[in-house]
Amino acid sequence: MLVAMHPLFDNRVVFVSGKGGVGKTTVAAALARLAAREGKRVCLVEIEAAESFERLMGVRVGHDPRLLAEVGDGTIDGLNIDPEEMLREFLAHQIKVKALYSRLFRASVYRYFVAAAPGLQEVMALGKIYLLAHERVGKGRAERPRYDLIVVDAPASGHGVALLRVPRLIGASVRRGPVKYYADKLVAFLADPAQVALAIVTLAEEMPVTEALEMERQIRADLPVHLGPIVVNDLWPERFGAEELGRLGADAEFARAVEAAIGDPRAHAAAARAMAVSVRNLAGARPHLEKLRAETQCETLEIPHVFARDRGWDFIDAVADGLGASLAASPASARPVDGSP
Amino acid sequence: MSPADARGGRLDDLIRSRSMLIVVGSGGVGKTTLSASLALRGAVLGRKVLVLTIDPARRLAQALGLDAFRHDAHPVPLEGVDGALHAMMLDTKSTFDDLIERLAPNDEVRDRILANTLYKNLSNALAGSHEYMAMEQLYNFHAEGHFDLLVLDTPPTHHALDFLDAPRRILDFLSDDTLQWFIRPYFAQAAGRGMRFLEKTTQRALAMLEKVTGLEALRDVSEFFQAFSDMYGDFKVRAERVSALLTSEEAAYVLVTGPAPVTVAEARYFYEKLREHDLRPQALVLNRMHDDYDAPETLPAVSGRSAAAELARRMVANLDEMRRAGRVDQSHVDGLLAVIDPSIQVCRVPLLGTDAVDLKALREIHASL
Repeated sequence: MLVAMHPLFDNRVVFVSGKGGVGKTTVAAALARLAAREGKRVCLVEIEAAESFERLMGVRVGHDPRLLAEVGDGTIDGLNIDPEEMLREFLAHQIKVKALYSRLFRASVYRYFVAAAPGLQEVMALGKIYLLAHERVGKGRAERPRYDLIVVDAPASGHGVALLRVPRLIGASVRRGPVKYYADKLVAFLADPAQVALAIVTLAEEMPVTEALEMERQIRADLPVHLGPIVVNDLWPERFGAEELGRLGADAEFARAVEAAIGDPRAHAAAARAMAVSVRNLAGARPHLEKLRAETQCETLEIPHVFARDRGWDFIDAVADGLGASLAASPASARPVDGSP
Repeated sequence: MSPADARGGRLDDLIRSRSMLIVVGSGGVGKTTLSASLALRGAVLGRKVLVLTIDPARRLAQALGLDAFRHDAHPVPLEGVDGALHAMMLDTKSTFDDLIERLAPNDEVRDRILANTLYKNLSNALAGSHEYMAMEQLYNFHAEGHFDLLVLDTPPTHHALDFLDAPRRILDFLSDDTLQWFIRPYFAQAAGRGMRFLEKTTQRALAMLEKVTGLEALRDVSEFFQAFSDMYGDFKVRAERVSALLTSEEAAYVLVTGPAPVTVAEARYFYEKLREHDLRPQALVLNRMHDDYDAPETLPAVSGRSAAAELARRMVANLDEMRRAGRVDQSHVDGLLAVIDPSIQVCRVPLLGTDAVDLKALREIHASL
């Protein structure tokens, strides 16, 4: 399948962001699914008490990676990262003496310190992702990365951008010490286009497109994270051509023939109404899609609306099919198999 | 009242009797538009209404005069309406500043706090602070009493009801006991001398924290609390009042959902979160719902190969798929309806013809409410 050829899957980590409600979690899961179909070992990560995976797939995801699905040779693990817990883990590791750090965590001053140290917890959350990305398993010749791909269901828009900015901010406000060391490593990692990419998800609607373009603008302005494709989710399919619709309206004989072909007048009236809704949905989406394509410098991918599927992997599979087709059709996917540019 | 305004009415009692409607639900369900529609209905019913929105789409923003007036409550010109509609956009960032402005005993204290790093990051550090600030604005308007009804649009937050938790969380955070450590006059000086006055182990741990992280946060914290100590009492009273208002009989919650199964699951999550706080939405709005198309149960098979037959076949296939999808969505909605309190008003708003919502469209919407 051509999907594996798209450069997005060459990354070690893909962050998925976008306005709240556009389907970030769905798209993140679909990307994981596509990668797993290619035999990859994938980790799907959500940050903080989002519980998004639970609402989407009906599975509870904990603080340790846990197998969610097997897809042929590929696997998808799920993980929820709690930034507070990550900071405590880090500090415990640094301070080493249990009596000391347990006492510290219980002290109220600890809370104030964390509040006064902006981004510290977020850096730890990113650090966990960094560690996962570099974790290796197996011995000798069988040694390999634990995960081929980590897909992160990142916070929405502004928060997502803020999250990715944190390592540089922390690195700038701290002169030395372990935090600076890790923050600097993170800055380099996030900026490496061979390892990390950000995919923005949007809908063909006004506010999501506006926010997606704004996110892109902010990132290009001062955040060296590689921008992958912008994914337009839930796109209404084009089922009826402008010409035939025009003909229906102008040519009475044609209209009668269509009515006769359907037969039952009630069915015909209903079908006409459904067609009107379908046409309207697409017409509504079109200007926003065009604006996005005109103003973005990113590649755009499209996922068609998925009809009548319940939540769960069945739904994700359908979304993955749509996304996969769009990826396969992308010029970026048409790379020579031998790896030459 | 125009003929269009005479339709609908299920939520009229709610709109007439409460002083606040808080519209909740996950991102993208149409809260902003519905808030505006509820507010407009209030005006039609003769009340003086203010709608506080988050991020309206362009047409709606224009219709509500928000492109010009943004963060000030200003009147929206309406015709043939007994009441009045005002609108404004919530500015969650600056209200914290306004609050400090209001509570600070003098300019110097105010300036010290506004410039303080901890203060600047407080809103990010405390999840729900932005939402809390929206509540603060609501509280102010309510206290001022210029409007009969306030309709509040809420942010599309991941953490469903942070705004409800936020007052308590902020108060816990600023809890009195620890505050004392920081406002003791000698503490600030002691910070430079290795915090002698703190308990030994805590001292060591804090010193270690600063060494490990390289962040001199304690000084910022101490300065913040010293400046803040004068205001703490007032802040506490205020936060408690906001909290009380949000859970009082004056506030009604309107939960909004869309038809998609994932969205309905999120609405369920919201509902349960409200219950955890001993709250219940007074209304549930099913927004952008699909038609059932009133087609015969069994759809005709279309034969023939003419262009007309081919189009007819696709039309029937489209109808079939859309109806089936609508039924799956409806089954999820039914699942939600089965678990909610039967006294909750349920309103069903159909998918509109356009996403460019203006005042006319708002009236169309409130015909379903």
